[in-house]
Amino acid sequence: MPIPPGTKFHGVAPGVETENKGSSTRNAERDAYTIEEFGGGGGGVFDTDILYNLTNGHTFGRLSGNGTYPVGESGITVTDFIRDVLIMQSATFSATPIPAWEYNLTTIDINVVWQYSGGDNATLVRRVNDGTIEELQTGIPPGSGSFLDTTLPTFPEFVINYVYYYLNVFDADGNQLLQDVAIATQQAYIVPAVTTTVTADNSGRSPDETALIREWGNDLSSIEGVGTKISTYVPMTELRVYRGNTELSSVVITGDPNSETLVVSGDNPGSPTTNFVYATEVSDTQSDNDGLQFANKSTDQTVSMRPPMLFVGTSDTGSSPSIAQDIYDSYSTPTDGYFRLFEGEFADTFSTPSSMQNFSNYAWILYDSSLGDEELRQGGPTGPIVNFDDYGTHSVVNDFGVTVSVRLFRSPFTGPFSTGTNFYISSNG
Amino acid sequence: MRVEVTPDTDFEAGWTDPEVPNMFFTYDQTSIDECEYDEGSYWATYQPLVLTEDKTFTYLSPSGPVTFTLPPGTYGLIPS
Repeated sequence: MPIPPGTKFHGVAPGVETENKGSSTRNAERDAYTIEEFGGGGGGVFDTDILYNLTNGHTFGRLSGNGTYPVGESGITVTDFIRDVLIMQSATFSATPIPAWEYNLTTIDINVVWQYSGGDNATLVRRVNDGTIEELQTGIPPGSGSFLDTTLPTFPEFVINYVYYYLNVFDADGNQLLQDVAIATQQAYIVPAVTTTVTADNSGRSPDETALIREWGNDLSSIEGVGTKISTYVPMTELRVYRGNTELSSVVITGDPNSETLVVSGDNPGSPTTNFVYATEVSDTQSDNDGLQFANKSTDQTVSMRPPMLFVGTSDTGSSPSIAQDIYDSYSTPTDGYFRLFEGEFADTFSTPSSMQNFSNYAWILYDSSLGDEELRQGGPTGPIVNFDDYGTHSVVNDFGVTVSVRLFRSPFTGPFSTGTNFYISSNG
Repeated sequence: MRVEVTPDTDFEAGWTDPEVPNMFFTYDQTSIDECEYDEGSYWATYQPLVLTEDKTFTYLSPSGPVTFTLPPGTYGLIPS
């Protein structure tokens, strides 16, 4: 029998005996209630829907704004109402692959850890890739816990797999209060690193010479290509070294090493005056699977072939028939002047060396005749023009056997410049 | 489960059950303010793990995965 609205109750201590001392008439008008009728265990019961009015954006647990909370046919105990409605459910949830879920790793376990409050029980389910929902654990009480998922399938290679875990929190009546999700996602594929290192097999006299800047004719090279695996479970399969589009050498990679090196020694491109390019390609099981030419390609290593340009102080007067060759051969150290390697047209400011204040010496300028007339200015690009004597066009055979047609200019007098005088020399005369 | 608590109760401490080492149990309430006051006492609630059939658990311990099977019963009761 429901308790009438407005009914009052008086309690006594549990140890006190009670007796209905009214008259038999009054006693007949009194009802007796058990504690269960108060909501099972001492709490009250809401047996009608609960009106709430929260203004100005206030919230209370899961309630906000205005409305009615339906209690259902059997009502809701105060305890359950507080726990399930007025206390905001919260959960923390994580899924950690063991070991780290690297790309192409096909078998793993996933450790799932949760903590939740504000509900009665929870279920743990998972979804692998786009598969169906699979129930892993039910009746999980509030608090925290962990679950090691050792029943995952073997995952396919060459795709990024993932597993969604859901923690569904319910109230005592089976209503879902909260769903938290933790996602374990496989790491992305990372292409192998690949580098190309070029060294010159011979060295010239110009201080400008490097592995990638060479005087005309110095085109003999050794090349080292190195591929380094980044994604642990994607083995490299082949390494190839190219000059331009020509494959110079290749190696099939076996044994799944972390790094592979391919050396091409003494490559002679037969390209004494024009640039050429080296590069290395690496293939791996991913690029093979995708039908690609390579997984990664190194940056192009361009060897720039350049003609000689000299601005030197020597005692040559210009009377010898081999004057151009003599000037080319005269440079030995930076105290003699400059032996530069410009790519095509050039313009630069040169600070004269001590050899040019020697009264036995002239200042000479030698450069690729195809660049045309020079322009010489004292001080810099806007300084006054200085006129050198034009010794015309000559041929020299450089240190690497290339016959170079050069223009030759000489200062009109010896001991022409004190040390440190700046001269701007341009091939754009 | 309903249990009497006091203002000194540490609601964040929780408790464990050696039978279920991969779980940590807590009160439903997070402070004494959320507890029911009745008959001069504060009352908190919590949810034990109730199993009606054998259940196998696997969890990760510092020494590696541990698998165990629990028979039907109620676990995670607050220590007396």
